[in-house]
Formats: sequence, C-alpha cells, structure tokens
Amino acid sequence: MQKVINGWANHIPIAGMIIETLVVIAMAYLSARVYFKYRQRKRKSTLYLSLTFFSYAIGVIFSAVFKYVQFFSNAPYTTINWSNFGITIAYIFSSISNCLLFAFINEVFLNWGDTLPVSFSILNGITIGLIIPHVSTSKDAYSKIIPFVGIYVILTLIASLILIVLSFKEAKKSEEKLPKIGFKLIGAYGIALILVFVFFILDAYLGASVEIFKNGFTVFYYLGWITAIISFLFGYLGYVMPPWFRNFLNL
Amino acid sequence: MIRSIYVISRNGIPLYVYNLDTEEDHVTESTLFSGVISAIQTVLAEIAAGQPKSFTTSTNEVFLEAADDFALAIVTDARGEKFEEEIIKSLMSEIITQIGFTFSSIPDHNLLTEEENKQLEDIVMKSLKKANHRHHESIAAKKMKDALW
Repeated sequence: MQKVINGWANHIPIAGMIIETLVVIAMAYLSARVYFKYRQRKRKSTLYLSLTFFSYAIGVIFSAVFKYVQFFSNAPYTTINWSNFGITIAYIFSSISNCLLFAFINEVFLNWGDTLPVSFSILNGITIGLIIPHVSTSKDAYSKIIPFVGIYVILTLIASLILIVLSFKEAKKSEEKLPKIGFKLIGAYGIALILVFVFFILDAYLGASVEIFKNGFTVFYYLGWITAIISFLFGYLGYVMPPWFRNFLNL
Repeated sequence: MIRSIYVISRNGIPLYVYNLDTEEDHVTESTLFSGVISAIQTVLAEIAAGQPKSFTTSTNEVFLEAADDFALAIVTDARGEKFEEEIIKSLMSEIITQIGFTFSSIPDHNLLTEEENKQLEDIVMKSLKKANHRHHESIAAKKMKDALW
C-alpha cells in the first residue's frame, strides 16, 4: 500500500471511497426493494425499474471497489490505474440502466410499442461498444472515453427529461393525493439524476482545465455523489412508497 | 358513465336512487325499474337459474348485486365512455359493505327515517366519487398503482 498523505493514497481520497460506498449501499437497497415489489406484483414495469437500479448499483460497485483496490495497491496509479478501470466499467452498466429506465418510461407513460425503447437501446449499445475497447488500467483510460461519456450523458438527459416532464404532467393531472405525490417525487428523482451528471461534468472539466484541481475529486465530485444519494431518497419514496411514508402523509 | 344507482329493498321498493339527470323527475321510472329488477331476481331465483349479475340493453348496461336484505343496481351508459367493470364491482362491494356497517337491518318497505336516508345518500355519493376518481385517473397512475404503489 502507498503512503497515506492528508487522507489520500495512490491518488484516491478516503472521503471519495466512503461516499461511493454509501451510494452503493443506497442503490443496492433501492434495487432490492423494487425487486421485492416485482416478486409480489409480477409486472413488466417493476422488473424494468428493478433492473435499472440493479445496473446502477453494479456500476457504482465497480467504481467504488476499484477505488479501494487502487487505494490499497502497491502499484502507483501512473502504472496501473484501477480507478479508471472501475469508472469505465461503471459507465457500461450505467448505459445498460439507461436502456432499462427508458423501457420503464415507455411501459408506464408512453405506451408506444417496442420501436422507441429498442432504438434507444441500440444507441446505448453503440455507446457501450465504443467504451469497451478502452476498458483498461492505463492512466489515460478515462480521458479516452470522455467523448463516449458525452453521448451517454446526452442519452441520460433525454431519458431523464422525458421522465421529469411526464411525471410532473401526471402529478398535475391527478386529483388523488397518492399519484400526485408519487409522480412529483419521481420527477424530482429525474431532476436529481440530471444534476448528478452536471456535477460530474463540472468535476471532470475542472480537473482537466484548472491547475489546482488537477488531482480531480473536486467539490463537484462530492456534490455529484451527494445528489445521487438524494436521488435515491426521491426514488425510494416515489417508486417504493414505503408504508411509514404513506402513513405519514395519510395516503 | 354511471347514470344511476339503485338501492332496492327485498320487496322491490327503491330505498335510495341516485340519478345523473337531476333535472328530470324519475320517481315513476325508478319505482318501475326497482320492481322489474326485483322481479327478475325473484324469478331467476325461483327457477334456480342463479342470481343475475348484469344485463345489457341497447342504451344501458345494468349491474346487479344482492345483499342479505337489499339489492343494488348500477346503470351505466352503454353507448358513451365505458366504465371498467372492475371499478363498478368495487363500487358495488364498497356500497354494500358500508351499508352493512351503518345499518343493522334494512326494512322491506321504504320506511327509512330522514337521517337514515341521508346516511344512505352519503354512502352512495362518497363511493361514487371514489369510483369516478378511479375512472378518470390516467393510465400511468393506474399502472404505477398496479406495479409499485
């Protein structure tokens, strides 16, 4: 293991590992709760949503685990960069969850048949195909996939914006309290999801262009993950609607 | 659309009638309708053909449910926007349950007090409001309720 200086070892801050671990726990919990709903209800939309969160969780697990690997590794990050390896794999799983999220949106809100989700999945598949050759432990692995991450972000924005617009529209239309609150929370989940990527883009931009942030892990990196935890909360309350939350709001 | 709801005594007398067209006088029509429903139920029970659950005319669809001491009939418009059968069934079940909770027994003749009539009206109108909400809620809300909520 490399020497720990000011909470950093081998280019990885302990705080970064902690926050990613928290996100892993949150996402795994959410995907398990939605999966249990699927076991009870056996609906296609519940399955898509459960797999969406499951794929996100797997992605974050890769990102977090390989940060630990790099932190405790003897090899310097300039030689073997495990963190970049984890991040590239995380984007692959996030692209898969993008497809599943769109399938969920189509199943619940759009009902446009298979053409649109299949086309959206093909675009995500192309993004995955472009990222896969760059999955490596080299120091510049992440910088090589940045253009493809751009495509991924655009696709995520499309899916999230559709989710936000349709959810708030449904909330406005609903007269009953339960769907009104549920759809608003789902819309808020979509907004938080977009903010996660806005913060990560800002983090990557600052890391690449501002000298004092060249080590990465800027404040936006932490804001990104904190927003991911907030999105988990919105998702948990909006999609799962736990009994204590229903009782609290008299739903 | 639900046009009318009838709570009918065992003797075929309308105990409470909800009509969508409040402008018109439906007393004769309601009394005749309740009698016919009661007669149909009695005849079918007599010949051991079982209780009728619904029947359709060229303009209306009539759903029937018999409780221990009264019967319930819901008339929907068969031509316009259709109500889901599942919503009608849960509306019937709710009205019957609520009446069962509120009244210890229902008289064979229309001898309900003013207060009892008001209670009956409240039960029917509250249940109907809930059913209308369910009918008008969007497909997305229905799917979310079905899949997650």
